Amino acid sequence: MTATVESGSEVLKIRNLSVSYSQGFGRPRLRAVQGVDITVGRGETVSIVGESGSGKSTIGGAILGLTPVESGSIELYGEEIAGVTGKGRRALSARLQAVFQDPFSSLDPARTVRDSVSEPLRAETGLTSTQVRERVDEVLRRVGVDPALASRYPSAFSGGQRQRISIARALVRRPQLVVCDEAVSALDVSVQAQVLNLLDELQKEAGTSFVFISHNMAVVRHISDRIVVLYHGRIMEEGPAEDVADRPAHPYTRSLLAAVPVPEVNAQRARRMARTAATVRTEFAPVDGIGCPFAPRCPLAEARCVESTPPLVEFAPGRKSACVRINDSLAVGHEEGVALTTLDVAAS
Amino acid sequence: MIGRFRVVRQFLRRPLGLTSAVFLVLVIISVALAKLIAPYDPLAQDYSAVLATPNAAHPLGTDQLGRDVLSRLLYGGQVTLIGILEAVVVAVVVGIILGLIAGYLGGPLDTVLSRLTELVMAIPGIVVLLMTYALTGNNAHAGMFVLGVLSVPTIYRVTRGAAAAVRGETFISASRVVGIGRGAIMVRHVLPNVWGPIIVNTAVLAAVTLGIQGGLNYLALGVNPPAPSWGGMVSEAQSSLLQQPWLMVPSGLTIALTIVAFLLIADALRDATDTRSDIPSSAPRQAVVEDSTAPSAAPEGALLAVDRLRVAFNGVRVVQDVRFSVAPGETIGIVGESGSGKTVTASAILDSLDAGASVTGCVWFQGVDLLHAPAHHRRAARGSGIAYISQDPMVALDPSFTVAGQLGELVARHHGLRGAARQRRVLELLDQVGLPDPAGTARRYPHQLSGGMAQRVSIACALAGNPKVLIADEPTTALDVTIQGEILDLLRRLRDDTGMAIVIITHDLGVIADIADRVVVMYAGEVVEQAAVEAVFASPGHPYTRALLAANPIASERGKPLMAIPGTVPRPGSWPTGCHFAVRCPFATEACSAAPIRLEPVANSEDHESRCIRIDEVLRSSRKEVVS
Repeated sequence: MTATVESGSEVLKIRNLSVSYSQGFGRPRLRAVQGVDITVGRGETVSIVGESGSGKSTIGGAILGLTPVESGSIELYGEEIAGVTGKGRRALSARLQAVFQDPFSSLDPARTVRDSVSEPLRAETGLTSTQVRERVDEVLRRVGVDPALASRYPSAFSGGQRQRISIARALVRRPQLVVCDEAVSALDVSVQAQVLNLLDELQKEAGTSFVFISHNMAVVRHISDRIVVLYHGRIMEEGPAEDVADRPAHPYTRSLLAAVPVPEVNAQRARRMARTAATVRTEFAPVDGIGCPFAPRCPLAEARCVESTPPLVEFAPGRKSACVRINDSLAVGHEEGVALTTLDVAAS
Repeated sequence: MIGRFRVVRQFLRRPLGLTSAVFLVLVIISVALAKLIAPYDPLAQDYSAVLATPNAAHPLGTDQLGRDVLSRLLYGGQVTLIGILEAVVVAVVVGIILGLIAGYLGGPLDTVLSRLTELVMAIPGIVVLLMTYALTGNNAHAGMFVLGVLSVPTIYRVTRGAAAAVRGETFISASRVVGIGRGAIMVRHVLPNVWGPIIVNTAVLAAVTLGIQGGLNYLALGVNPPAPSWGGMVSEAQSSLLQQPWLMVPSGLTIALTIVAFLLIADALRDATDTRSDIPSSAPRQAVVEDSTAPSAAPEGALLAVDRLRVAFNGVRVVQDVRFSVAPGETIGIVGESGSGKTVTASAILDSLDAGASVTGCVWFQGVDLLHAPAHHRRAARGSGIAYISQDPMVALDPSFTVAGQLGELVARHHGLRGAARQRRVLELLDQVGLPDPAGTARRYPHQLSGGMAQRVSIACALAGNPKVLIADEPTTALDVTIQGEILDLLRRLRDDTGMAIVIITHDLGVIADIADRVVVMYAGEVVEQAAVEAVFASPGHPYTRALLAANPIASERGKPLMAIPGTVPRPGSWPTGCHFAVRCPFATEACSAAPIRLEPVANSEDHESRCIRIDEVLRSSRKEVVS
């Protein structure tokens, strides 16, 4: 768990990434991601957290070549991969894989589990069919699915089992980086815990790096080394997981944490108060994309928040925030008690 | 979706389709073996036996030149069936390829191809066919090839539509990430998922082609008499219709039966590829209420009370022995994971269960058992007494009407308000659910609302009848977490303002802690624990509740594994005899699986029930011992 990434050990380096979507003739392009920098080290899990429309899945799509990149660079081990398609993607798939959200649509219903899991190996030449079979059996066993069931279709499996199969497909080529796009969001809590534990074990065994895209602060807090908080396509805050989740620096991160309902009555009552106090509508709003996108909802907003777009500044080693009132924000943070550590649920 | 062999099995179960397939196979075999089995040369004339009715020498009689009808049918069938094959193969191959490209790749290529096929459909086919025969010297193959090209749009449109629907599926993205090329994705992932409708349409196309080809041959197009063809034989029979009407029967009936066979096969294939066909057609359209339970008395003080509720779908029990009650102004939270039966329970209360469901037990509302009350009474209660909001607010909203329109209709139905009074009430409701600009929102259509606003509007719809109970099924699950907080605050405020009771169904214990007064924990179709909200979190009385709390990553120790519950929820139909949670439970003993466990009061506590015979051990143990 390294907070800072030493140079040379960078698996993924995203610099100044921007993506925009056409909204049809005559309408301005929707700026989904604007000037985002993210670095992922070896064996590190970096989470991108945000609400719908934050651009988190767009970043995942850009890394995976599913979304065209407007500007900026995405480097995998120093090699530019933004915009790489076709054969280049096939070569990349040995190192870069993905696990998607919906366990019911991420496996082809017309193909057996063995077909789906062995598909990534088709790009790997020089494997005999016996070797492919062995690799598939091995990875299925590793994720806890009986290889004897591999000739069945996805419809024979539960949501949790399907997500294990999706993970098996992502890991069968032993990639160095796996993008998990809401990989546990559709699962029940008890199954979600199984899958999170599995991802953690697999990472420890193989030193795989994860980009973990999620809307769920509690999940992100548990699984990440570092957290990147995204709002309206911009990074609001970034830092080591325990800092961001337990000592949030940006008002948006705080409102995101305060909104998580916790399974403890008194704690939740207190959090509800904090949440209500922090829910405001201000007169400040960014104009033409200039200004802090959170200003309209920020309890600390003032005129200078929208005069220019607040830059992402490193205010402490390894910690960055895009807030012009960072010191005021930190001061408020200590009083509010929105962090999830205020809970004592797991204790007896 | 469907496995490959399931369709074959489904098809074989349909007698009409199966009979048709057998008939068609027999026709094809006998036509193919014409040389071996035909008793005569199809052109051999016998003037001593013209226009004969069926007899020993000529099983189907003879025509006006004394040629054997059976032999001509068999040889003529070769021209006919090969022609159909040619036309259908051209249409299917070209149609599928173009359809896949247009549907999967989309974009300008799709536009060009779609316009082109529309052009082909607009061309009068018979003119093109006549020209073809004229230019090729009445060549049968050329005609059938052109007929195939003219039929491409049929297959193209079906394939394109199905492929476009599959394009957005995640498994396609997953294959792209792996670097599988577009062509390979189309063949391996798109085609297997769209072939159902293609096959059905191919069978229909074969029937249509046979009809058209029969007509062409009747006109001596694509066949040169005296060479036999089915259509040509109809033409010949017509010329001597008055002398020998029988002659029309063999050729006419063969064409008609073959067309009917193709259509029946198409019909059976459509049913076989339809995944919904598993529901037996004899199932009643409404859920059945069985009267086996002895009516209990309405519980005192309860507004809504569910007692010994049991629901089965097609004989498989999905919910059993569910009981809870709700007092006015109270919020009950029903919590459980998928498959726990929480939504089925709500549907049973709302009388909105699907066909094939049977319900027993009682649902008391204001002293009346809704399950056994007369229909008008149930409708009245469910219309205005009990309201409902769902996870997806768009379900409750009609996309073609403005918010004012649909809310106004509800207001009119419940209160008989008209004109300005109705409009006032609509704005009042929208204001009540905290929409910042009620008048502006009222003018909008559902697609112009954000998720949070739509949920507020659907709550306004639910409030229109001044309900006593609001059943909210995962009302915040589809919303962002910051919006979730606002909706929960709204529900709490509405409850306090109007005194209505709320039954909130959720998988999130955090939502329960936020809003509920009492909690009903469900697992695999049963209530496993029931208590005041403080008690459930302070001293959970069932191992499942404990495990659910411990598995939550919310307060986990970072770097340590989460306390996951091993295994999965047993599916309905494979529930164990005893405790449903026993196989996953660290406290389980043999006694747990021996016999059904009853929901019983937890010691020293009035309003706390648990379905666990090891309750004492559970309560004594530390909360961390939840997982073995």
